[in-house]
Amino acid sequence: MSITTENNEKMITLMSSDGEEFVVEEAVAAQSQTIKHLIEDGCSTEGSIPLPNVTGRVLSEVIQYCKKHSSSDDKEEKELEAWDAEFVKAADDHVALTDLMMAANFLDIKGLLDLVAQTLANMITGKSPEEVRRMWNIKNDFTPEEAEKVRKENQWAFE
Amino acid sequence: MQYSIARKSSQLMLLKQLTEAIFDNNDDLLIEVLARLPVKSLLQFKTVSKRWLHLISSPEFCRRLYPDHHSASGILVPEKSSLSSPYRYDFISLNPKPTPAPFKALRLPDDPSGITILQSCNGLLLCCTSISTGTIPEVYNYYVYNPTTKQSVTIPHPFRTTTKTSGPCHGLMEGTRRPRHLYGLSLAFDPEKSPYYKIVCIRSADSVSDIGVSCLQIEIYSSQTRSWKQSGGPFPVNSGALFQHGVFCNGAIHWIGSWGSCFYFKVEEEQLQEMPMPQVPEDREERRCVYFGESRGHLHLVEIYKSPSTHFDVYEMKKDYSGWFVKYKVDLDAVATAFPTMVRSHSHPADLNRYVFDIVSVEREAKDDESRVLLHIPGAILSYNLKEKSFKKISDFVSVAIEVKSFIVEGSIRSLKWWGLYKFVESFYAV
Repeated sequence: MSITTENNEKMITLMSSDGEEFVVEEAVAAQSQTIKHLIEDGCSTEGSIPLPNVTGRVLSEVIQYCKKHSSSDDKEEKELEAWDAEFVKAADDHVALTDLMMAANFLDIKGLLDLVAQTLANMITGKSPEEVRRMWNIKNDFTPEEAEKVRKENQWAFE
Repeated sequence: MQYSIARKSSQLMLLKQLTEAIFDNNDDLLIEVLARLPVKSLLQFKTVSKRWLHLISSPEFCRRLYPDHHSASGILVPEKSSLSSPYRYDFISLNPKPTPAPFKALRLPDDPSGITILQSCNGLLLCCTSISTGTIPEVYNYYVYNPTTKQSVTIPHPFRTTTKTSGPCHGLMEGTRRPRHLYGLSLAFDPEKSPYYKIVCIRSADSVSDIGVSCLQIEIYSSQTRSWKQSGGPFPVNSGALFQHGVFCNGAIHWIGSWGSCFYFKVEEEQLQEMPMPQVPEDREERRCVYFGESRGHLHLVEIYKSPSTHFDVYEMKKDYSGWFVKYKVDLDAVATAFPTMVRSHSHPADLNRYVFDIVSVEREAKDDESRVLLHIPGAILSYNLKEKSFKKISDFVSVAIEVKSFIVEGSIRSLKWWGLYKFVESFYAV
């Protein structure tokens, strides 16, 4: 099922894992290489495209990103950068960001993957290993001796 | 109704994710994040958890972090031409966005007075105790150092291994054992083939040949086994062969000398072979090599015998080692016009030293029409495009030594020997 708008833009429907439907312009959805290939293979002609790995909450964010980036090809790079910065700020914690990154990975949207990965990296740059464990809920499975051995091999980095 | 169920399941998912660590089941995504961290954070984060240590230490991650081990970020140049201690290095950045110098002087706990670089090989440096500390070669410490991660490892001294004799050389009688002489140590590291490196040691054998010619012995150290092993038996070699300043290229170490035969050693096959060399002109007694190096798996050689020295050929070794061919023809006349500081105008036009320049490096690029030669002229480093024959200044390279020497009439520049320059390649591989 494809709908055409008055601008003659082809519209397609995406369905999230929790059953939410999103109607978007094909050009927007095609920012995702995964969806682009599905469209090319004719998967969008009957009903909506199901995206079993992406929840509605995440998908709506992804669509926001794709809309911005499909409409602003010739726009100032600076403006787009500022928009990206605000966009990842809105995702506020690492759980939302990891969801977003998993979706970007599944949907194969390189720009979004880069953006989120860099945001997550920036969150922990300059932090201590202990802080990283706390922030990202990671269990320390080293014995004190093992940890000390690794620390010794990289002493300068801890100074 | 359907909405509220969906809502609930999404909340459940969120809860589940909150109790899970980041990217619990997806190493690829965690690597995407880790690959964007600075080196210092990465080294610290090896202690976050075993999974992080495993991912950060893996050869795949090293490759991901610095995919092109052919691409040098800069060149390390010994600050002084003399062998005084401590050894200090100037740094020429080759990146459009300048890379900071990895270090000024190298000091390690066992050698607080400083160590000297012997060779740079695809991101790792082979180093030894600085010569001027008054030690004799037998007690030098040898190191492999990664300037990116600042990790070093001490290599056990090759002379602490024992030798059995066989082949064309026979052992000396008991009690007449000669002191061993170390001809050279060379590093062989190709991260495309293996995350481990080898070191090839050429030393005098504990024996002489039947015809009284000195014998050599090859030993190989492997970072995988952390030990030395003898390669073949002692073999005779004519004096004059040099085994210093080895150049590693395509799995083999290559040495050249001013006279006599030149050799290369295939490290995996453990074969020493003679390397064909261009003929030295009849009126010359020795080879006048002004550059010998490797770039992207190609071995390059420049010899200059005729004035003007601004016209020369860059030879490249054929893939089958049958000989050298002229890969690039270089004409620096336009450079000399643009940079008159490189001309010693008072000298005779036929003087081989009329033009003052050194070849820092021949850089084969992924696209060959971007291949270039880096030149050092008084006060500057130039990049000369070998295809278009265009050139541009990439750095004002001035050191005290050059400033002083430019007032001296003979030879107005400190000479940068090809064997005294070390590429700095960023690398995350373990030493």
